[in-house]
Amino acid sequence: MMSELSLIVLLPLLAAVGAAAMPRSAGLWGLGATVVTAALAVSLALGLMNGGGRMVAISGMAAPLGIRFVADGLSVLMVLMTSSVSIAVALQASSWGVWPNRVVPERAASLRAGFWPLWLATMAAMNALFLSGDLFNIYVAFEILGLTAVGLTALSGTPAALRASFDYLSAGLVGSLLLLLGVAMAYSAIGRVDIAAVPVLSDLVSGRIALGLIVAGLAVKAALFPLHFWMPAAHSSATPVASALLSALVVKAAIYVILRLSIESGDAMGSLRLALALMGTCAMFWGAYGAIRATRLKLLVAHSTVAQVGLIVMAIAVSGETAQHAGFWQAAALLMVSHALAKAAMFIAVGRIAEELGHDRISGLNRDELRPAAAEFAFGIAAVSLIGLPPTAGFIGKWMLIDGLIERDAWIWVALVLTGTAMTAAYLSRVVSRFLRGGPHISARAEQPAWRIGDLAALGLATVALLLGLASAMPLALLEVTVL
Amino acid sequence: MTPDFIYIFAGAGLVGLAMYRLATRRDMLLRVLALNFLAIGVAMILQASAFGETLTDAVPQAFVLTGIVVLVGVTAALLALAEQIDGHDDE
Amino acid sequence: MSMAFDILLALGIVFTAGTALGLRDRIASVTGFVITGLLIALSFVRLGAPDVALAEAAIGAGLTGALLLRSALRLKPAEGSKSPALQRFLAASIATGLSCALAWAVYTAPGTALYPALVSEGLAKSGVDNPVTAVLLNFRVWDTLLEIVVLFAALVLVRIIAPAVPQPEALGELMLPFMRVIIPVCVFLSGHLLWQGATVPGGAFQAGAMLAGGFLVLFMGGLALPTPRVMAFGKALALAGLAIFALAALATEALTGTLLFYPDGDEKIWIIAIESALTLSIAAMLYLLFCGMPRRPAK
Repeated sequence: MMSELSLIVLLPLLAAVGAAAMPRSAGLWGLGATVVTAALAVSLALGLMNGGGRMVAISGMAAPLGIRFVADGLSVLMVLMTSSVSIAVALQASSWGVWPNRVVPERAASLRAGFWPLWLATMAAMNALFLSGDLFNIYVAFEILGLTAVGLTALSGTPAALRASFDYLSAGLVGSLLLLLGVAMAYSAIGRVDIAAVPVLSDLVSGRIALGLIVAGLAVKAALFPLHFWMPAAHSSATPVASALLSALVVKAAIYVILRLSIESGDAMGSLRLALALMGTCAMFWGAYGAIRATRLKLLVAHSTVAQVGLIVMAIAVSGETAQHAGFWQAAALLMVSHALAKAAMFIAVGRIAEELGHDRISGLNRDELRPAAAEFAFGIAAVSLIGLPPTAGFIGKWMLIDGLIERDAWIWVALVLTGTAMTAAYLSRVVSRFLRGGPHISARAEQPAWRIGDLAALGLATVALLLGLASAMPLALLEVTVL
Repeated sequence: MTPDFIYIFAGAGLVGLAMYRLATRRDMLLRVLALNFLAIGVAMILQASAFGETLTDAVPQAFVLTGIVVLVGVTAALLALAEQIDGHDDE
Repeated sequence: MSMAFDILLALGIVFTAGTALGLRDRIASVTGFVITGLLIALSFVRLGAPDVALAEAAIGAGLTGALLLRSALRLKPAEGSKSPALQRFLAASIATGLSCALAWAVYTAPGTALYPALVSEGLAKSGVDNPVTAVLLNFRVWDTLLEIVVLFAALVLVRIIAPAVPQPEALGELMLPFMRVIIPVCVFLSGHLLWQGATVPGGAFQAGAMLAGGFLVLFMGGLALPTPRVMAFGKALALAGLAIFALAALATEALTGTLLFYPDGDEKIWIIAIESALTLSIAAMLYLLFCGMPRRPAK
């Protein structure tokens, strides 16, 4: 158990160094490390189901002075989520060439040399973050994520991408500094910064200010309205793989910490929860509005992320423990996982569609005699999961959320969730209807491009998102595992 | 009166100045400068809270040190981006 | 008496910072930044944190100042579009309000001192006498590992963006005699800081920054230009440091069963070994961050 925890962070890290040292075989390092890390994640999860949660004091020093690995159901579910998306992304990125002795065009070679070290470092940092039990440790992990995510955005090298990357990195730095300020305040308030201290923090005024600052920093990193301004630009100029990673994973790291803080603080932090719920609701509507108006597929999916992040944060905020009811944060966790799978599938599919058609204008989707059927199919299934139709995991998550809200007679929130769902359906059917509608692309003469590995990746992820609902007992059981 | 709260105010002052500049100017170099001031303002606040009459707490010192090193990495990245953006603007 | 000094220093910090942010001349702004950084380093000494003061002076003021100066000379100034007065007023009021609220919040925080007792307790077995080094390289060494990964990520990012390498101009006649004095001083001081960091203020980061300063002086003198060979060497050093650190972490787990728990009695050896690798690696990373990492030209 302990070995898995360290390897799950250190293995991708060493592979990142290897990929940076040997750019021509970066693909091998990358693919290999991703697969092995995924296997470790599965083994970790199985170990947890059998043996219960684990805490490890790194360097043998107990908290609060030392840092702890905390492997409970939620952390390990997040690690599994990262691994599943990472396999798909690695497959898609392998289209830039994996074997070192094959000749690839210069552009693909430089993409490959840049992508793998960044991606492996991202994976290492995310695993370190999910398993961390210390707020300052989480801050440093976020700094890594900030740089690697920006690197992935800047990979395409266009002027627009560079400009978006600068703004993203600046915004990310402000977010990290708010987080650090919150940690500083927590230290001033209670003299320690480990996560186990959060209940103590939420009892003090200065502690609540500290938590507020931390959540503000996290809100910037999660692209929560109104701090989401960096996201659409970053997405529209990033390669599809980078977008998949940004929306599906990097943003989740911040949301995970918000969820963790919410769980730890119990029934305190009422005003902060309300603020988060309101921001989440605004994000849902603003993102949906942006998506409905979008002219390009990538921007539509990017705005959809803003909306979904809003929904998830709102779910976290309203599902906290109260004096009368138990918390139902598991709904938010399921929504996070299903969104990660579906969004990554969607971005990879959009990337394939754009590759085949040469553009990603929504109005042009049914104008050519070209039909990237596999990618469109993947997009459609992912859309089902995002809207939250059965039997997807998104449906289970929303069901649990609405159920919990009804139990508390919180009808306003129920209405808001349902409206958000309807808007999601609206903007996604804009796209799906074009896939199915009349036009030269469904005529007999239309050609279907050959399947590529990206199509398989997208389809695989979308299918998992679809079927996870049927197998939702597994993640829910995993979430039950706590650290004793 | 101990020196720590004097420097807390100084740090908060730096944070305020930096935020003001970030909100009012678009020049990239100035934004990087302002972000750096923001960061060292936060560092000052953290370090000042660690002050002790006989012994300054070692853990926040480690935090601030880590923060300084992290900051130089991010600054280098920001400046590289800014230079490349500027280079493209020339064309 | 000392309080008056602190007040003057604090006022000086805020004043130089404000001036640096408000000046039109970019070189002057960067100079203001470096001065502020040095004053802040002084304030860290007053706050009883000499290790941090060393790091702030070398890295925060020195290296960051060098980076900013390099960019100030290259970037075109933006059009002097001033924000509308209303926006400036709003921003100023909000910034002032937030900053006062922040200061008040921190000042009135209760503050229980938990760490110092725990640090003193663990110091005897940690292998070093300097509590900051103990925290950085023993109790919370996991943070330090992730911190090096941050530098690594910055390096990869800079390589992807691949800005042009700065070309140092031929400097005057005093450069060579200066270099003859300063380079050996840098090397010795770096090694001294590294070794003494175990007992008195110092350590890997300060030593690495010192060494990087030496590399930069060589660079300015035209002797350590980032040719492909120098680049390859620098890259190897930089990557080797992180790799050694990560492998050492795994090795400790193999030996003792807990991640980064040094074997009993050997703590000092492990710490010195990791610190030495880190010093060279940090120096290389800082040098590469300054010089940029040009991509190999297409074959």
